[in-house]
Formats: sequence, structure tokens, C-alpha cells
Amino acid sequence: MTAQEAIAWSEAVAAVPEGRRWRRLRVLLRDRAAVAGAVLLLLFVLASIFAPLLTPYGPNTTDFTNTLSGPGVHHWLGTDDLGRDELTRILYGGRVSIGMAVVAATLSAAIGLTLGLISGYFGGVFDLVLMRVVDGLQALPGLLLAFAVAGLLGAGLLNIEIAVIAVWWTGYARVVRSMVLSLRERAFVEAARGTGATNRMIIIRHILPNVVGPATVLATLELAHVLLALAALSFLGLGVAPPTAEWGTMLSQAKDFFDRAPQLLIYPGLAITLVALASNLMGDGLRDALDPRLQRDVTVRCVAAR
Amino acid sequence: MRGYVLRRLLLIIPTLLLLVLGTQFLATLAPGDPAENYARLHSTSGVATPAQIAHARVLLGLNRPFFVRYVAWIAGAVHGDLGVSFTRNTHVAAEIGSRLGATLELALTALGLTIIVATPLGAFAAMRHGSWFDHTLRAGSLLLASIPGFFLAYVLIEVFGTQLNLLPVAGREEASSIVLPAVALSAGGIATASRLLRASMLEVLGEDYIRTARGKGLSSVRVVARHALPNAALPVITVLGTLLGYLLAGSVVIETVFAWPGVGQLLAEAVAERDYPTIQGLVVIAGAFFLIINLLVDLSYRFLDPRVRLAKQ
Repeated sequence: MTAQEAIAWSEAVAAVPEGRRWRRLRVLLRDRAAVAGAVLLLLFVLASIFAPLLTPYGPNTTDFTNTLSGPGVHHWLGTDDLGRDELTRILYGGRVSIGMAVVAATLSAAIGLTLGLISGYFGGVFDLVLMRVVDGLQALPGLLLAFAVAGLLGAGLLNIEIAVIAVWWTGYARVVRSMVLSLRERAFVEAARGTGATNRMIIIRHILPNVVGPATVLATLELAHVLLALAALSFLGLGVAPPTAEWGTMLSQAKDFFDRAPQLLIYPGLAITLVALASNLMGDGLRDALDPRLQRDVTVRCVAAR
Repeated sequence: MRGYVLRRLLLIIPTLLLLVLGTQFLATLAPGDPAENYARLHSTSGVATPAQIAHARVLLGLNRPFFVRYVAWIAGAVHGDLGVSFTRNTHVAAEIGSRLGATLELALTALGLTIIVATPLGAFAAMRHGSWFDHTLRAGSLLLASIPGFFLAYVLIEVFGTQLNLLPVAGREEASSIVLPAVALSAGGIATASRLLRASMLEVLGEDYIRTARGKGLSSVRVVARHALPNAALPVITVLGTLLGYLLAGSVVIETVFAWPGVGQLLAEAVAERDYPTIQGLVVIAGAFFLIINLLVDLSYRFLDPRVRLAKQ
């Protein structure tokens, strides 16, 4: 999303009276694809939280008499090279995989939001330096930079989180900064300053509420990207250390048995795909519900139909 | 115009210096001692003595202070010397040079494939806005954007390599070796580009000059091909740089899966072995490449769209 789009959104959302906001929520709820995405995501989250209730096995319970077996009655999705139940590992793996993606997306948004607010509101040297850093980080494709950062820091859960956050905050910072640049010139900020409000009060009470909405939408849209980036890092062997069940690491391990047991690669791959698809569907619906250009889309359709 | 290009070119330099500083800082921050790793890798017993580690430290230049190494690296880079790999005894610049061709071949093939497939899909979806085709494209592109590249790669290997035995699944020996990696790499780009083209095409189809073209009695194919598509393609061209970046980043994973001997595979190996000089060299070269690509994209946009040029004058 470009800065202009973000500004358009924030203004459209801010301009909508309370009643119409509910209508937008209803638009979102009517979008069957978005609702399906939300339900699917919720199912995955609940299944991984309640994993101990759903499966009789532990994620690291090995059974060397029954390795690399296909789907069956006792092991619905079969077992891996150490005889661990694949379904159990996928359920438990969701905790780490989805959890890591949510943490990375939230922290990137929080860091980008804070730095963007300060940079946009105060300007000056801080703004100049921050924007050069953002330029530098955005010179490279995000995933490529995340590979490099994780490669320099070494493998591990914390390091790939740092790598992804280090790359992803820049987008939020840039968008929020340009929104603040236009917000701080608006009449209500001027009025607040006139009543003697301090800079801190103006930022927290008057500017932040106008920026939080679009930043949340951005974070939802980015959840799928972050999940896929973390999976790619894990796949290259940079992720969580082996005994822990995590989808990307499971995939990375499964590639060694690909010719004998391709299903070990297919299941975690499908899990990642489904969760990414669920967040994409949700994000797409959210964008449609909030996008002021949707109305224009309808007029375009009328013209094009003639 | 010349001033603009010059200013943009000059801005590339501080950005690259920042990238060098950042990568070197992270390498210093990282746990583990590269000198010990190097000594261990090069000793026959697999264990490094303190003397060997000290020797390796001097050999790799790690005994010098941070800032001296920074300046020395930049001085070397200006003369085309990006240092020596920690793990493979080769010059980083030579290693990158010998692999660049393979990656560009793969990325440009994937880019071509993306444009050839996405253009008709996006155009047709816009022409039949709201039809079943439009909905299928939306669902399909969302699905393609959600599949991890390496997962799609393995699915392609399983179907076209193992089951049907149609195409080679590893290496770069045969002409047909490029098919599967290029398809796996372009999938995400096709999803994005076709949606973008559809959106921009919808806007263009509502313009007055399209109505004029229709009014003249032109066939709908001619209206789309000659009047709508060239204008709708403009916003898509601005993201071509981003798209190429996306393809090159994706090539790290795809080259690893298909054993394609390019720089993507080199980065994946360097990352696994924590070969800092190779990572640093790749990051800086990729940075320079993308900064120039983005400049070219911006310039081409000004060149292609007379409205942008007029607004500037």
C-alpha cells in the first residue's frame, strides 16, 4: 500500500459517522470470502491452542517401530522419520508458527508506528536520519534482507523474529510518517495547540487515534507475508531448532525424505498455505470494506458495461 | 532532468555505505568467532589450536579495528575486490560473477512468463468484471499468493518430475531444466501482476477516450489492445522493479530446491555456513542493483507517460 492510499483510507474512515462504520462492518460480514478466511484462521488458532485435548500423542513422542507410515486409523496423517504423529506435530506446530507471525507483525507495526509518529510530528534531524535508514533498508527486497540479517545473526527462533521485524517496520514507519505530516497541519491539531495542549497530548489524544486504524489494516494484510517469510527462513535451516514442532522446520526436515514420504512435506506446506490464504482473504475483505474507491469501482462497472 | 538523474545517482552512494555499515555491524554482533570457524574448517584434524585461530584472524583481517575494516572493505569494493570467502577459498566478487548469469537467466525468464501470463488474465478479468472468470482469477491469485514458493516447487517436482517424469527437477544441464524453477518462481508474481492490471484496466475502461474509441465503431478487441492496455500497463510498469526484486528474493529458495547454480543458491549456502564476506558482498551488490533498477523504472515512467512530464515542467 502506498502512502497516498493510506492517507485516503484514514481520511475516509475518520470521515465516516459512527452509524456508517457499523455499515462497513456489515459490508465486511457480508463478504463471504472474508468471513470464511476469519473462520478458517480462528479454527487453526483454536486447534493449536487446544492441541493437547485433540490428540492422544505428544509432539515429541517417538515410536521407532512405526516410522514414515502413511495416513491410517491410529495416525490420521501418518508418522514422520522418528515415528512421531504428524497431525499432532502440525497442531502443536501451529502454536509456534502462527504465534511467531502474529508477534512479528504486531511488533513491526508497533515499532513502525512509534517511529513514524515521532519522525512525522517533530521532523528535524531525527526525521532525516530515520528516513535515510528506511531508504537503505527498503533498497533491498524485504525477504532478501531478512535472509541476510538472519544469516549474519545465525539460526534460531529469536533471530529470525529479529530479522523479519528489522525489515518489516520500515513500511509502517513510512506510511504513518506521511499520514502524520498531513494530520499535524489540520485544524483540530491547531485548535488543540491553541488550548495549550502539550506535544505529547496532541500526539496521543489527537493524532494517534487517526493513525491506528490504517496501521491495523496494514498489519492484517502483512500477516500472511510475515508468515511466509518466516516459513522461508525456517526452510533454509535458519528457524527453530529441530525437536520443536514448527511448520517451516518440519518442511525443512521433510525434504530429506521427500522421495520416500512426500506427504511429510505436503501437510505442513498445506497448513502454511491455508493460514496464509485465510489471512489474505480477511485482509482483502477488510481492504474492500474500508476502501473509499470501492464506490468508484461500481461507477466504473456501470460505464464499462455500456 | 539531468540534474534529477544525477541527484538520484548520488543518493545511491550514502545508501550503499549504510548497507555496508549495517552488514558489518551485524556480523560483529553475531555470536561465534569466524576466525575459529575458519581455522577449524581448514585444519585436517577438525580442531583448531589457538595458534591456528590467531593465524586465521590475521589472514582474514579480523585483528583490525571495526572502522579500519569498514574503510578497507569500501576501498577494496571500489576496485572490484569484495574480499575472500570464509568457507570456500574463492574471491567473493569472482564467485558472484560466475553465478550471476544463471540467476539473471532464471529471473528474467520468470519475469517474461509473469508478463505473458498476467497480461491476458488481468485484461480479460477487467473486461468481464464480475463474471465467473473474474471471481476465479481473484480466488486463484489469492491462493497463489498464499503458497510458499518452496512448497509449490516441491509439488511441481512431485507431479512433473516424479509422477509424470516429464521435466528435469535439478541442475541446469538441459534446456528444459529452467521450466519448473521458472514456473515456481513466477507464480506469486502472476497473482500480483494480474490483479494490478485488472484494477488499472477497470479505471482506464471508464475513461472518455475509450468511449470515443468505442463510438468510432472499433471492435472491442482493438479498443482493448490499442487504447486501453497501453494506458493500463503504466501503473504496472512502476511495480516491475518491485516485481523483479520479489523474483530475485524468491530465487534464493527456488534455486536451493532445484539446485540451480545461481547467486540465490550462493546466498542460501553462505547464510547456512555464516560466510560473512559472501553475505556482505551479495547484500551490497543486490542493493546497488535495486537502487539502479528503481531509478530506471522511475525514469521510464516519466518517459512513457506524457502527463507526468508535463506536470513537472
